[in-house]
Amino acid sequence: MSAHLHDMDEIFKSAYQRFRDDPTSEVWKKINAALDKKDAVAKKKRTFKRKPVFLFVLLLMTGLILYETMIVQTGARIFKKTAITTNIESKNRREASSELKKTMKIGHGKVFYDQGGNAINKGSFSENRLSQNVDLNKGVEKFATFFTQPTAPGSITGDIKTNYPLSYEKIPAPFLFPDNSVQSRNNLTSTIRAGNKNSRIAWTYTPFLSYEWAQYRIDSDLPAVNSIKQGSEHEPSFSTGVLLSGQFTEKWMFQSGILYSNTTIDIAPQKIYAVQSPGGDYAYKYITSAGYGYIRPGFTTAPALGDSLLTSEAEHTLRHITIPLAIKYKIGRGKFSIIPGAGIAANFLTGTKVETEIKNSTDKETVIITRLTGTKNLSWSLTADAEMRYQLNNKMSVNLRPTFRYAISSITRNDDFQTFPYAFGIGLGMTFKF
Amino acid sequence: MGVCSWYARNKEEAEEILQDGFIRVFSYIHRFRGTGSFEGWMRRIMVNAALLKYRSKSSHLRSLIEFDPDRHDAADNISVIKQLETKELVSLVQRLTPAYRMVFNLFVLEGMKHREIAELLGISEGTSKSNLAAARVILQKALTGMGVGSRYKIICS
Repeated sequence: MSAHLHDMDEIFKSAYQRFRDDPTSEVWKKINAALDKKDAVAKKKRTFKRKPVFLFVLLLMTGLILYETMIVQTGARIFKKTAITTNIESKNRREASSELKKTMKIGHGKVFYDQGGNAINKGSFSENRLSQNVDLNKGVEKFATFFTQPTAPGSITGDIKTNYPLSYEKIPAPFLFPDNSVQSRNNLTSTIRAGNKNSRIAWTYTPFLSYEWAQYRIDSDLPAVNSIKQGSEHEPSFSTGVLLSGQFTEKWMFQSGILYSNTTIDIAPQKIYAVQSPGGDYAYKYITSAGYGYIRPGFTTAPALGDSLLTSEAEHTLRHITIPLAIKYKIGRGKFSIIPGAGIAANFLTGTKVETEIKNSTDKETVIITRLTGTKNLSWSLTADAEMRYQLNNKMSVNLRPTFRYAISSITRNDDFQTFPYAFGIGLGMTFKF
Repeated sequence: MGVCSWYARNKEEAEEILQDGFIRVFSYIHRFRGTGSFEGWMRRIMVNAALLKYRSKSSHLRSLIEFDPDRHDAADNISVIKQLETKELVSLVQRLTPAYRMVFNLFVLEGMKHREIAELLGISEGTSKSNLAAARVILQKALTGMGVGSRYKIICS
């Protein structure tokens, strides 16, 4: 009998190898149509997937451009003001010089003053340029006289303070773009930028709690995927943490912080089968969208290969510590403002848990799987939110924060089974100024 | 198409599997790493497409070949089977219930173990074994019947 079975198997196998059949031409038309449709859907999906990236890059670039523009404009304003002041003061000084017909004594570029503020230098000047020196650390403007080549001896006889109502101090000559060089301008711009950064970033921190609705997309060729998708139902999840924001212009800010997120998924009752575990023994394999674990029930002896058990509804929890980095733009000037933003987040897996009840015909037992195999410890996601902020007083604001998070890297290690979670959330937080 | 025919109930269903399989081939072509033969990879894709079809229908209809025990004699004539055309063998397998057909094809044609089949189809290993045995009995008797006379009637449903 067994020999006959073997022969029969061989005959069927041989027939399987050599059997060829041609599909009708309609099939190819249908495949073409389906592929065209799939292409369109895939293109749409790709666009959808890339949109957040484009948006983020666009926001980042716009922010940088605006930031750089602001720096240049700030510098330009200072230069313009300097030039105006220089012109005005030079004019005043020339007029005063003409009226008073005084000669200031100078010596080798140094100016000395008496206690009354009168210049007492030896030498004289025929031309003076009053310019402005910018205190790079404090942004305070001071005025000084710059002396060039002395031409005629003489001395100031009048009260220079009366006629020159300015504060004077010695400035190394040449002190301000004497050669109008790009290098000098750049140096000053850099210094101003550093000064701005130190002085202008307004720091705030926001503790918050967010209610989330999480879902995932599974990219896999395996037939088991459908049953996993159909058997999963997402429970309310939450995120909490502290966000740190640095507002570097009136409108732009960056945001980072640390978040703890807890995602819960309900899994429908299912039948699980005993397989050989990596340890070599046989255990029941429980498969989830994030990985799989092994169950070794206490009420029965070690299972044999292929044995099955029924599980009740299970609760599957994923816990992550997330570090986001986002750029945000503030809209609105009054007490109420909307601050949309986009960025990227690193998600560090801190724990997984599957809690279910297993039963056979006589016994049942609650089991908890605390370690899932095949789950990545680090995954990346794109984030976007639109914070609505209401300022309560100078130090404190309350905010409502709709958020969206979309994984750009799979949370599973297996190439054949890739899971990309995404979540919509609504959070409430308080923002405090440092 | 040849592979699909073995997993389908008829030519139309085989074409549906082929169509689904081709879509999957184009979708997952980037996953093919060239470690095995492309033909083997495509064959696996087609089998997966057939499995999905089987799962979506999840029908466990009774066998379309019904054995009449009164007219059965125990003679197993393998030489008669060998004389049958390949197409007729395909036709016999197509007439099995989806559950029997799947297990028979995966075990006999694809050379999978009962454990793997059980995992793939979401059944127990015991069920896989019993389905295979039942499929074999049905086919064996049908083949013998085809050889020695019409002891088996083909039920159309």
